[in-house]
Amino acid sequence: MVKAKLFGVLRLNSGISTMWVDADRVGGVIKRVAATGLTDEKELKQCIILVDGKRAKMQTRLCDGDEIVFLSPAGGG
Amino acid sequence: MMDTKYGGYMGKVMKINLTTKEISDYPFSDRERELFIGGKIMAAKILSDNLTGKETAFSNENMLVVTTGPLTGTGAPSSSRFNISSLSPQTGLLASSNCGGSFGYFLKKAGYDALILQGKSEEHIHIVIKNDRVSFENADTLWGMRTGETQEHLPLRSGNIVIGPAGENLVKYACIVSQERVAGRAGLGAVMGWMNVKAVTVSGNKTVPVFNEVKNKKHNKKWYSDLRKHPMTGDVMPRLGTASLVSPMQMRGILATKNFNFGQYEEFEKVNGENLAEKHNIVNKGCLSCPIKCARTVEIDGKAVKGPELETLSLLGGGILNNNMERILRWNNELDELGMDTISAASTLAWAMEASEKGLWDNGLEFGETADITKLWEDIACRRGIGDELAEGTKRLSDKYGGKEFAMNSKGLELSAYEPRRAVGQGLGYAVSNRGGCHLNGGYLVVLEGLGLDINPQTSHGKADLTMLMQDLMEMLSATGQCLFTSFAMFPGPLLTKPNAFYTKAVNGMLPYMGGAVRMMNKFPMPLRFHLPVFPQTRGFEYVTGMKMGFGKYLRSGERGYTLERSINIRFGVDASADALPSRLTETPQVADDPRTVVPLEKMKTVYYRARGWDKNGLPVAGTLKKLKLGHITDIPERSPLKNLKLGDELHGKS
Repeated sequence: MVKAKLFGVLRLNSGISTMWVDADRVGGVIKRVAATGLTDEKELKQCIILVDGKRAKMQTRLCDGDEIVFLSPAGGG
Repeated sequence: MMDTKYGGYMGKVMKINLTTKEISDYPFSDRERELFIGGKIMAAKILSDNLTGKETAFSNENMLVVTTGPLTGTGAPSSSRFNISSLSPQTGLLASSNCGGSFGYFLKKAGYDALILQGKSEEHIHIVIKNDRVSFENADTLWGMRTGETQEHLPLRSGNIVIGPAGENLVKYACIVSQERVAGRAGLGAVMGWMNVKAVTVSGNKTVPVFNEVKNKKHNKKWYSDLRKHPMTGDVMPRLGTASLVSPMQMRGILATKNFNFGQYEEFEKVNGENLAEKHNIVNKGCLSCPIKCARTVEIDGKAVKGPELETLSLLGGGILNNNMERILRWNNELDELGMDTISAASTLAWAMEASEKGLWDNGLEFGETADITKLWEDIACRRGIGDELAEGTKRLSDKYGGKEFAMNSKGLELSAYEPRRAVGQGLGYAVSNRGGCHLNGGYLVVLEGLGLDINPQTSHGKADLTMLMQDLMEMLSATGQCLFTSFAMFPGPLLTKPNAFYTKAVNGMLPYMGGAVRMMNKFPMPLRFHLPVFPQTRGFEYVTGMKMGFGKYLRSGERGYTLERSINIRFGVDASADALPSRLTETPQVADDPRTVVPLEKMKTVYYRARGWDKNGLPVAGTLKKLKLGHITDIPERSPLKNLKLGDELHGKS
């Protein structure tokens, strides 16, 4: 299992902050999060995606317990 | 009859001598309006003409200059901002602080573009301006009141600026409050307190003239619509506010944590923007004429109050290892009520905690131990116990106790929440900023280095030229009376919403290596006589004022303002040695095994000075001043050495 975490307006839109999913690649995580119907694949793919703090691609392999962050655009301060 | 041929201006500047209670019109010509526009640049011109380099913040010759911009009160989006400039008690240098709220709008309704206060009243006063009538009311009953209570005692349908107990007690980072908005930085509330002015209220029934009403109205309609449609100003900022940045800052390693020891806070999710939006925000608020509405409203003890901004959340969260959001909400309100800058207050507290941890100062404060902090804020505002020393800020405290390497200020002003070792362009900006350690006056490059665009945050390539570009752009934006957030719409939406797209990656990859092109634009902006479709500010300015204003002239005007401010600071002793950062940021890598994670400051400064037309010592050369039509300030009176004020010196009148 890996932990998907959503931030920014993506999280407000979907209502998902954290979700445990069974997947071995980032693409699989996206499919499973989108399967909730609360967000869609397109929106997730447009995010900055980090695995354990490093930029990741759809094909990035995951290990049990990894944390995948989906970060939608930020603002300013 | 207006005293100007230009729209957007009321044509008059009021000067009040508080010592003699004499009121006069301060001369400001149309030629000066063309060159010095309004807001912080207009204020810099007035201060430049009056300060010699010998004054201090608390001296009769200093001035508190409140200025508006030509767009204020004309219906342009997010244009109700006003500026307050003066010598800062915190830095001893020029300070400008920008504020939302309605004071600027009402000042123009009264018929004035600016208000100058000079001298010191013998008694506590509340200044009431109604059109061109001024009265001085005794403020003994208001003295001692918090800012909210003070404003409840002021007339309705007027613009107010007030100070709280911190300003009265000359806390070095006391702020000035207007409704719920704050001119927060550099201690201008203490200047007002020293002048014995508790409040200024202003009202009137005049109308701001607009050069071309029909075109302006049509232009503004589209401008509002574009801002509402843009992903940043129409979606992220309204829904998450400035707090939207906490999570991305964490991911990028630029969330100042434990007094800038680290760039990430393990418990950030308890104090981030999402948490604030989901659990605490009741309603979004905005300043007059603002479609963005970035302000939060939260509930404390059954009362709706202003919520915290990003800097407050970060510095009072991870900055002191506090994971309790409710405490931050309460402290944010408390600091506004007492009239203190949340950034400097939080950073001073973090410094004191580290000084205690390192055994430099036995003050009983400890990172993560925050249950008693609410009372400490009042102790600072009223200068009780250790609060009396904390009221002096990190520069003076580290002068006394040591620990300069972790006193997180530049030129005496505490840095905001962005940890610059993982966004080195922001580090350059903090160091060269005229105001001191301010992210905005520094050019706000962090927004390109991972928080909007995604250019390489560790490279120094192109950062100096981009910093100058951003500083000049924001200088002018501020001078016109607009909020800096309107400039976010200049970035095409897809560049922000599609970070993984080919074109976004291409822009991010190329931008640092386009320093030469950016330098050409900075150096020769004037041929850019046209309006950019993504930057409606220039066209809006023309419709309001009737002055020609292409994008190049807009940049040049900003450059003039920035250099003028620098020239004032030079009179007070600033040179390259003052453009500095604490050594923690320039010598100790944030990531132990990655030597790139420091700010390569000296290298970037050299390029920056060259780009600005300053010499190696950071002084504008004669040719630069002439090019910017600032030749008159070459006859600067003799330069004073940079003042190294000791703890409490100014309070006790020693300087």
